[in-house]
Amino acid sequence: MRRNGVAEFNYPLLIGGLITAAFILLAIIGPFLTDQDPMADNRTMRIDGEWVTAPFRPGEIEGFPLGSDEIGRDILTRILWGIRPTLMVALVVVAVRMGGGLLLGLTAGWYGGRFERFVEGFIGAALAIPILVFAIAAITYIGLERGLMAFVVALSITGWAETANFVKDRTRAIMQAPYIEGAHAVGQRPNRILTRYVLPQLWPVLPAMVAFELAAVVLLIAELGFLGIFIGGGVQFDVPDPLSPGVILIRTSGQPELGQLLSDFWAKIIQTPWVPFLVGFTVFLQIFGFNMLGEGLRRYLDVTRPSTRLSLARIFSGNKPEPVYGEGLGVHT
Amino acid sequence: MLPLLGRKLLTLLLFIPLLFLLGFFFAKTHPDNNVPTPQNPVPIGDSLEFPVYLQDLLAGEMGSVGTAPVTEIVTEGIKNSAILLGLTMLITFAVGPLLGFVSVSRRTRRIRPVALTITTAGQSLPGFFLGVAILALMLYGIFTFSQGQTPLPISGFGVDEHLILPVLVLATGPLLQVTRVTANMLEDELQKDYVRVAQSKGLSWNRLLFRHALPNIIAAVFLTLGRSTRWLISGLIVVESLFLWPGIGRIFAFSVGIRLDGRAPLDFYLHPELLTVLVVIFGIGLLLADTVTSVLAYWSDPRLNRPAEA
Repeated sequence: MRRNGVAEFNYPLLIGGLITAAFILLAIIGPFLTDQDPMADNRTMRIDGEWVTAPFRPGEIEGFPLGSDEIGRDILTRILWGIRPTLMVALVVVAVRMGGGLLLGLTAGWYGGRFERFVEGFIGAALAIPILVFAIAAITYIGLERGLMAFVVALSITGWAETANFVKDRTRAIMQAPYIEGAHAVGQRPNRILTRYVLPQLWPVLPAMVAFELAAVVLLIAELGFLGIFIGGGVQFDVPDPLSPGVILIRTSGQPELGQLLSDFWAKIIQTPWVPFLVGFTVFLQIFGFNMLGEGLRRYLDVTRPSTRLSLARIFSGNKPEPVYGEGLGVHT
Repeated sequence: MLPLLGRKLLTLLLFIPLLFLLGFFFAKTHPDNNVPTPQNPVPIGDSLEFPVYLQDLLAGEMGSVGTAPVTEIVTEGIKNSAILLGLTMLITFAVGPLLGFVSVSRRTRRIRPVALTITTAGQSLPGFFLGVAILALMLYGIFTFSQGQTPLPISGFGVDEHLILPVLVLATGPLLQVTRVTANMLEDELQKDYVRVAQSKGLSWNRLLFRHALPNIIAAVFLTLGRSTRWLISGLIVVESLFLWPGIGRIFAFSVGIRLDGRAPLDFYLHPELLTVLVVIFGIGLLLADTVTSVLAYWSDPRLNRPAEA
């Protein structure tokens, strides 16, 4: 699209779309790409008549391209297996957050008045609690052994607030526009106003919002994992104690999940420094993909344009939509 | 302005008791506080009574962790964290908008592709990943230069070079967020007709930016700064745990049983008085930051005043 004579190529959409597509693909087919068992440990292996013991560095021995962890589980396999559960948790959390936020924000903005104040109070309360603080507290309260449920609840209870706030401000702004008054004046039904004037202005913002939310949630899951809070408990394994006869029990991650693979940091940075680095990079790439996709979608979905037909020309052109998620001047007071 | 300030402060007053109750009952009803142990046959949760606690609190008695009074622990923590947070916010606010100005191309009046990629990438960088990478580099430094110590201190407290790494890790996200918002708003603003008029009048690029565009977008920058506090508090927990900074984030991590080195979290674990105070402090911090930045935004942009007072 040419505007002010300068053509712009919407490369954030391309980059973000490609990375996100790759991750979704990996989430689906990832576990089939590898013939190793992500849980099987190979503490010692016999290679060419010589015994080697885990951990293996990346590229050290065949069959472990990205190395192994301290009990010899292949990192590549574990990452490939780990993408799916992480992405699924993120999707569920985002769905709950967006659903709640959208519903509450829309009704508050639509009805206005006292109800809006009430919802604003709610939003204010949710925003007054730091999200990671709340997530940690809630997950330990609910109990890690509840698995997925604990995460969805903990990450959703306060997480909807920003979406709700944004949707409420947008709806409020639309409702105060002169054309809504005009629509009322010519006798349009509320139903019609909602579907004809309000929703069409909200839908286009959603894809970018979902992408940004996904990035935020994956980041949160990774941070929680780093702090030792991950989905499902860990597994215990024993290693010989170097100081005394007998064994020490060590708890480590079981069924792979990206957050889990980041946990137990101090032990890993000394024994297997490549593990936090590789997994951290995977997480970074995933978040980067979502953020770029959000940025690209934001540019692409211009609500002020009459046609929303998909075309290649439109995908690769930089249109600037009016609503800027999380960045507009929608101060709530 | 005044109605806004009044409303914000009223919210603050309303939420403090709410957060207080939340913190207290979280600690009281937490499953781990309600398991009888050989040392404590009566679990802590059962021995806690809200009226008694409230009376103690009103009498100025906040309880203690081991031998150290809670008041002392928390004051110390706040002081240490405030140094970290203050410096981070200062850098964010001073450098963020400047980087935003730089990232808009003068020729196209759009964000430079490189700048957009870098800011998005920086925002996507989990704080701990950056921290781990830096730690690894520093450790690598020991082995390479064999000085016996890292080029920069990697842990501990000190108002000196100890600040560099934690602030660096803490500031990256919010700083680039402010940069990105500034650049995005600027890009929007620079597509407007008045900019074209100003350019055809022969105005210099700097005057155009600072005299014409900046006043229109500064409110959004303030608001972004306010929003990034929520992020900063999360970052505080991770960064303080990673760099062993004795601040309030690490105290919170201890009090919910998180220690990166895998040792037992000591007496801090689920300490009721401590947890309650921490929750209230985090809440007050966020609400205050929101109040200050909203007031700044309203003060800097007269357009925002009208709908608020209507």
